[in-house]
Amino acid sequence: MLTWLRNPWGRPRFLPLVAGLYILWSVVPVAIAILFAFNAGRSRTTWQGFSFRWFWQDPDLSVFHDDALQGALKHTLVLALISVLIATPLGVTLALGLQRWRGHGSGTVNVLMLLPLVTPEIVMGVALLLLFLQLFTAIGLGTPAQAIGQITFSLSYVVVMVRGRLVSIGPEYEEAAADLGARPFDVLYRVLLPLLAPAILASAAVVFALSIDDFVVTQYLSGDASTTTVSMLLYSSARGAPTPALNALATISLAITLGTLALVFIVYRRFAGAEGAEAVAAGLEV
Amino acid sequence: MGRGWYRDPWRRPRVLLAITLAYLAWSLLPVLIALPMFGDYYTQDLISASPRTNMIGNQIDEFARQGSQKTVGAVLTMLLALVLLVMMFYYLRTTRRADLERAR
Repeated sequence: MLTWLRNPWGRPRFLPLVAGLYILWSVVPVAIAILFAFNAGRSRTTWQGFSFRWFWQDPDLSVFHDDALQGALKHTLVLALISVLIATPLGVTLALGLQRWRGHGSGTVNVLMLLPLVTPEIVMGVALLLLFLQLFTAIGLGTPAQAIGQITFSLSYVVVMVRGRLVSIGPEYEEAAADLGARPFDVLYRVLLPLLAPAILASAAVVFALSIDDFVVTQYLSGDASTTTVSMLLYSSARGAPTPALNALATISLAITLGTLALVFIVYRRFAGAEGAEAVAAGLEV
Repeated sequence: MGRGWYRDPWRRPRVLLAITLAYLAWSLLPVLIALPMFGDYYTQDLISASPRTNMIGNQIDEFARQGSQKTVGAVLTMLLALVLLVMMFYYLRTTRRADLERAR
């Protein structure tokens, strides 16, 4: 404090310490959980040696051999794929539309678009649950309902990221293309979409990560045991007698998420330069 | 600080700006932290699970998802959403006012 008073523009020392401690505090539990995925024994608390037993070596209880664990992993990936394939194009078109719309009601829609980012998931979960139970009974609970729920909230992220890119691109390129005789479709397809590609790629990765990460909405809209995801399985078995196979499952899903984001980050940096890579990094924090 | 103002009274009021921003952060942070936290039920359930630490999210989860009294869950959700809506409009109003202030 005293040194700060003497020279307020010196290198901050206390702030990095606090930030470091915070990062340590949030990473250590995850690191411990990952560590015990490689435990040789049944315990999730005492270390009994390193092995891949819970990944594939155990003939009954490992992720590779336990149908419940494997099914959850598959279902999680299927849901993530559906979400990415639908939410990304939908979000991109929505972002384009909202960016151009300057009329009555555009302000309201803009607020509505940001609403899912701040409302607790449970509100949307309950709302969607009642919707599928009372009104859309033809769809019912299960995979389609889960996909719709995940798309509903991940759409906002796509819109925010793509609109950010649209603002930084500006209208000049489109106007130039139109000036030179390109039809509206050509402007979109040959000018705007290539310029937007980095943002589209980044938002697809974020949707993927959000979908794998999601628990509340997915749990509310799940129908039966076949629509259990990794996050639901981890939650429901935390109270029972879990084996390190669950840690292994969590480790695998974490590796898939981080791997996807890292891949996108690398691709992005190659095509969009350092500035674009920072945008992906900002997306990672979501 | 004071001498600088003496020399050029018409420069941007930096101290005032700092105070305004600090106040803004102080008044908005609770809203930003509270908005997503109000829906939490899984942290309570995983770490405590005691009825004494029940939150509104736990009640909603019990009624709407697990129990048969879905209407009670729906009412609780609506009340929660209303409270959050008020907080959100407070947030939007404050940030918009701050934006206007800065634009001036």
